[in-house]
Amino acid sequence: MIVDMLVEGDLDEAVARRLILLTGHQPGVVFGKQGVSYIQRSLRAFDQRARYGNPVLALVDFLDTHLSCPPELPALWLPARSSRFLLRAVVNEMESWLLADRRGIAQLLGLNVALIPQQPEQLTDPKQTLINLARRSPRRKLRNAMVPPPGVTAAVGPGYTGVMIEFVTKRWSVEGARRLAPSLDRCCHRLAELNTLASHPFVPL
Amino acid sequence: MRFSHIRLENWKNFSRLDAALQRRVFLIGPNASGKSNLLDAFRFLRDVALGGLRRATEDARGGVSTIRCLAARRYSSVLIEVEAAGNGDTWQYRLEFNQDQQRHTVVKSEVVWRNGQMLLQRPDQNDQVDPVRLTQTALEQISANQAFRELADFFKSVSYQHLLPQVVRDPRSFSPLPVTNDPYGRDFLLRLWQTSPRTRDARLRKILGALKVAVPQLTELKAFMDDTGVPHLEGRYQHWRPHDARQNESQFSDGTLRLLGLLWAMFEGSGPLLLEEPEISLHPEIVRRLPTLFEQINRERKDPRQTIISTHSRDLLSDPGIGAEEVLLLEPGPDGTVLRPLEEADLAAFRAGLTAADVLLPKAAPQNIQQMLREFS
Repeated sequence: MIVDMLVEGDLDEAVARRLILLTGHQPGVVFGKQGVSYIQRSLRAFDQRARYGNPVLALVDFLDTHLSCPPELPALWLPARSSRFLLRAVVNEMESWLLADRRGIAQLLGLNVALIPQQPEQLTDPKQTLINLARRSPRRKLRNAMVPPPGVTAAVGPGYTGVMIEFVTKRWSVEGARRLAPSLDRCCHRLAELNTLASHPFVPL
Repeated sequence: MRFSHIRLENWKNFSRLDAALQRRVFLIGPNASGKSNLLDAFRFLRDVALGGLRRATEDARGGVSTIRCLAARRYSSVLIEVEAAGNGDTWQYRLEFNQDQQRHTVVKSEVVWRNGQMLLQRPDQNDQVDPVRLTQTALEQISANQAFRELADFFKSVSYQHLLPQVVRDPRSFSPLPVTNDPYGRDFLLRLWQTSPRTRDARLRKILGALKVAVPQLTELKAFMDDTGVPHLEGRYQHWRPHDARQNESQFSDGTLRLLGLLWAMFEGSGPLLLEEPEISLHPEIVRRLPTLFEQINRERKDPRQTIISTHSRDLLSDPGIGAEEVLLLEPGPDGTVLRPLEEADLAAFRAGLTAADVLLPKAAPQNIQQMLREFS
């Protein structure tokens, strides 16, 4: 089944593609990539689109929603949605899902796996955690790419997105990460369940 | 009159294309998907009507073998067929051409219909007697196109705009002589100068009004000719000194010149206007308003002209007034570029309030875009 994506940015796209392929689907068109407010604004319309076309996987960083608990996200943002529209909260931020592959991250950064947090979904600022880990990396090129240089206001280093997309596409172990990130595990289950949906979209007379 | 349909076979990177055309057309697709080549099909008809088939193929486009689609079989003909509607008539023009042993262009077939009635069909008996006749189209010959002169004139009225600020500023180093059709604005200032002063000043006044929003310091805009007979544009800019500064086009910013050229092009001529990426050099807030601005200028005409615009701009396509059927989405594939059809799902998304920028532009994103970053990491 072809699954379209509605995501916040490039890194989220890379993750969505991996998950879609892993659950036996084909990645389709990538919508959004203009941050969380765009997704919130256009959810309803993309839900309509999913009723007539490919199912859509929408990923939202829970951190960005300012809600108090993840199940609130679909309930409050899009209560009456099609079963072809998967609105999943990434707890708390995409970097949590990546850090959840502790071995992979440790290998990427050249650090001892014991340094990588054991409960990535409990982190309040997963991106900062990842960048702080990168600061300790013995690999200079990687450090320079991921960590913003002193005096620069950017949240991430100049090559951060490129490095992380590379990681997600080639190294990230989803199986390993699922064990430590329950929201990722649930997302994979919902994606796998798409196969049980009728293969033909609902088209009214 | 406007084009209402185009069909291409073996034209550049289209082995087959069949597209209905609205009064406004927005062409989207990844780089090298053939947006400019599609625009060039309309320019080609103009070139044939103005200067003849041989010049349009051999001089302007490197000959039939360069025009023919790479995905086409080696000796197949190139076909362009258009439908145009206006003044209560529907016209169809079909031209199929190839090359002979000497690599010269020859007409394989040329057919004209008006309201479904065939006015011309070639090759005819005369062509069989004298095959040299097939090196020319009837379209390019005044003696042969009398019955469909209106259509020939319509093709001649097509104009193409891709103004390059560097060329406007320094036309002579771009080309010592005037250029045919002048797509890049080499003679932009000359054309502007040659417009009757009343019309010119009225247009410049309106353009100034729009430009002032983008460049608030600009207070006046006028054309003048210098002592050596070279036309110029002069702008007055307000600043902190008591007297305004005067600057001519060589000091205008790229954005100022581009916007000026776009707006002037909307005023100039009456036939279909082909615009190549009008968003270049402009601030997104201005780009977002271009479709409405073009419509406002167009509304002043008795017969609003057709605009065919190629674009990559999310801002331009985010205008909620752009309908799904006004957008042509080109998709390159192994057998040349094809038109990606509208899906029922896209229409549902439009009805739910999304725009072409939300729904259609993402489909024009390059495949495997993620690989671009990976290649260098």
